[in-house]
Amino acid sequence: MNLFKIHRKETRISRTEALQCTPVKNMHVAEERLETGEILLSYPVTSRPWIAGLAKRLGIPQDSSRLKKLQLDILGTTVWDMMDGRRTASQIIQAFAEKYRLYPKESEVSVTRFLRELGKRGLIGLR
Amino acid sequence: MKKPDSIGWKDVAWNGIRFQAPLDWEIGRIGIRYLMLENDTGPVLEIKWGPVRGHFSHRTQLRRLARLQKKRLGTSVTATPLPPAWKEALSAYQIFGFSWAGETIAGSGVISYCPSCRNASLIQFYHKDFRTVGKTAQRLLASFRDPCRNEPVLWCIFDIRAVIPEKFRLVSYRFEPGKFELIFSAKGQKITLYRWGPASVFLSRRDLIRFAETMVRLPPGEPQDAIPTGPKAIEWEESPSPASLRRWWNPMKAKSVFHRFRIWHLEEKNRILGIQAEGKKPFDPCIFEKICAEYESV
Repeated sequence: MNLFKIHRKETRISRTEALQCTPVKNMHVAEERLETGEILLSYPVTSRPWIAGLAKRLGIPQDSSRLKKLQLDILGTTVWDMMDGRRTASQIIQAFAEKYRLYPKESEVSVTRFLRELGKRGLIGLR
Repeated sequence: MKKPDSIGWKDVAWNGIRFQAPLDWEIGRIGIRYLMLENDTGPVLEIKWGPVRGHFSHRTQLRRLARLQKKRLGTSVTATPLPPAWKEALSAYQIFGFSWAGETIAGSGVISYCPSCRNASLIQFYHKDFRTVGKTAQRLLASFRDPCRNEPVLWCIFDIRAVIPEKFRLVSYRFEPGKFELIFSAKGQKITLYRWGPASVFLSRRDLIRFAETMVRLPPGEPQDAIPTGPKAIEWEESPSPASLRRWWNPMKAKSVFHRFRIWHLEEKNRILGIQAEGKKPFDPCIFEKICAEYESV
């Protein structure tokens, strides 16, 4: 028995429940539309606490306003534009499949993968 | 669950087996001889199949399944008499029914064996209440065919449909968003089916030739217009001169020397399809044309 194991309470939701969630953009993300029609996202990044602490001890100045940029391709831009705070993930998947005449499963895999990636970077949240 | 007559049905054909499934049943997991279909609620159908060497015993297979099920879900599989409708649907096969029940889900299925082609299949339906799958399962089982016949093999998976000569075996496959790839081989010859989409995005900044150059290893030389009956297609072909010394040398070379690639754009479907044929021996042009003609996005 591992006494030191951290027991996190897992909150697992089903696929259907996950698809009924509404993706909401992070309001700290700035978007710039490029000439190509694609979107360039800029978002603030904060260092991990232990890295910030280490940097402080070593006397390395911390830039608190560090921005990271992410350029979306045309498909990513389409999904980003579809996130209006009202449409659910399922509705976005359907609209995306209709726009590009994609096979529904293919649309689901690509949109959910993209949303997960945006979520990991803190650019969106799910409501 | 809706009545089977009120819902749409689609063909599913993969590595020899084929059947009809409700439109909202999607491929969830896929293997060389394995399919798992699911709908919005979760898994609904699982099929495994394979050739049998030596004596076949339904009871041995059931024991094996029971062991596996115990390990996987902690449930016990028991032999169950099959409904008469299922027996009628699978009258061409030797069949044996089974069922199991877990906490949240149950399963009912059949192990079928075809004595003439010596192929065994395990088909199981996942459900909460057996009555909900009855009619759907009956229609699906009635349409089920295993890899028995010596005829070209139908492949119908996701949105692609192709017919490949029986001698070609599936060696690998890839289904990724935007790109599907199926590779078949037979006696030093290889066929690769490609499907890309959405074509409007892939071809937004380049033409079909430039696209092909970036996606596939093309035969050397200039592309030519192919002469298919369908949409406009572009083709590359490499075949060495038929000098006698080369003819002798070609089979000894490790690399394919005959290489043909055709690509075409289905505008109304927003897809790009491609077929590559490679080998040490020249590929029969009639077979190549037939594969191209029957390869489509549905």
